[in-house]
Amino acid sequence: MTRSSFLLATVVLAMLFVSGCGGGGPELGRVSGTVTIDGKPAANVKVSFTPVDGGRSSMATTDANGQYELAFSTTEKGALVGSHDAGILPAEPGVDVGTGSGSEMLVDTSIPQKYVDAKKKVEVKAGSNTIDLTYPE
Amino acid sequence: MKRPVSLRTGFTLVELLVVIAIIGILIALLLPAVQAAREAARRAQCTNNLKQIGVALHNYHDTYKCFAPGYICEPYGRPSGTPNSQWAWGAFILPFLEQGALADQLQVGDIPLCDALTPGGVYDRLAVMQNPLPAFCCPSDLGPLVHKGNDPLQDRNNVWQNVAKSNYVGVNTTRRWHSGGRMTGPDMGEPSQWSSPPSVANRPNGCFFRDRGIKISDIKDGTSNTLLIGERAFEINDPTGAPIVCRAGVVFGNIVENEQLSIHRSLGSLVLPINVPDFASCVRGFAGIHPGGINFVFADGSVHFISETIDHKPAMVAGGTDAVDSTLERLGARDDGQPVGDI
Repeated sequence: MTRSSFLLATVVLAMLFVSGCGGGGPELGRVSGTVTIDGKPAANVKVSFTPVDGGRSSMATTDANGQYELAFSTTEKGALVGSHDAGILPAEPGVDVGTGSGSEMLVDTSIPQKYVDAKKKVEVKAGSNTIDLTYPE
Repeated sequence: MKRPVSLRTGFTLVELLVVIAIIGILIALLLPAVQAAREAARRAQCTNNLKQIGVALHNYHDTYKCFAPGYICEPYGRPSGTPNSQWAWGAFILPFLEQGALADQLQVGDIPLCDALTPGGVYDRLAVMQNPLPAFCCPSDLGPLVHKGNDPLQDRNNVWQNVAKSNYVGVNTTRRWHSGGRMTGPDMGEPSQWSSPPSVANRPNGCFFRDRGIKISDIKDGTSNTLLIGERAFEINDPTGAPIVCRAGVVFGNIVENEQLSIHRSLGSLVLPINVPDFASCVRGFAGIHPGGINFVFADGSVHFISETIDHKPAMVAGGTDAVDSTLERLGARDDGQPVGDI
């Protein structure tokens, strides 16, 4: 009797293993690094990597030490494997009321425009990548 | 007639344990399936809400010969120095969502929204605006049905008042007015608190902005190629599981203090990538309530699930520009001359 019970349990377990888990999605590489502007680590800077061949961009915001780790989506870290345009942007404005009004246009100036315009070509490989962004190079 | 003693009358402990283990395994297998079915039902409800909003906008169009404006600023003067809260598209389509009584009570467009929000004022309608409106809420969204302290709308005295949440926001534009902007309220040539009005090159090119309702004839790319309304969750997670509060939207109105940033209460911008686990991006953009993408209702009334991996090169990513040069931007822009085929 005990033997047949074990047999049954084994069959159930085997079924569980066979059902397995799915998977898939695009191939991603984990990307982290440090953003340095004029020799200092840049905090609260938005980093984005856009695949040259098209596809979803990965984004991150640097922490107080200028470090970032890219997020591909709400569930996955990393960036698509391949060539990317990497760049930085001022952190988003965040505050939207009480900013005053007047004749001045709303223009981001917290990062020099030449650094915002400077797109770097970088290569993301499968696995872990450390890609530091330094301005000026 | 005496029965043999060896005849068993019960189960052994091992047998019982095995049975319990098997039942446990079966329940463990079944439970996620049940949860998934419940989520599928909520998701269907969410899609249906979006469909109803699309139908309501079309009925609005039949009556007024245009879709509802993104929000209004008339006739109370220009944003600078005027009340910050103004009626938005959600309030205008209430009569077409079987909320005619509520619309009559609120006197949408007849009394200023900021007065309707002022408790104790002559036009005080705050209590009715604090009732949840399920037609605007996605059941999959974990956030509250009525905003609780996440700065929805300001009353006449600039005090923040909590009002009903909306998970649905109108598509505003795919390009920036200025580099610091994320949204564009006024149409081409319309006055604003900034010195120069939007030009033909950077006017809002989506279907919802200030003071003007878009006609179907304005949607030159064709109604089945143009987005109207999309979803924004109250809260999403980043890959580490940390919550990011995106605040969803507001049914009744918008804040017009800064028409490049603050008008996200009723509108969303495709200048930002979608589904980004980052507050400043998702609070003004579109953010998924369901994993992997976002539901949009198109101008023809059809609802489609747009995957987050759709081709999208907005201005706010490296290599992106304000040009309409990716699939999602072509879908968001109503008259870019680049209709999209099957998506």
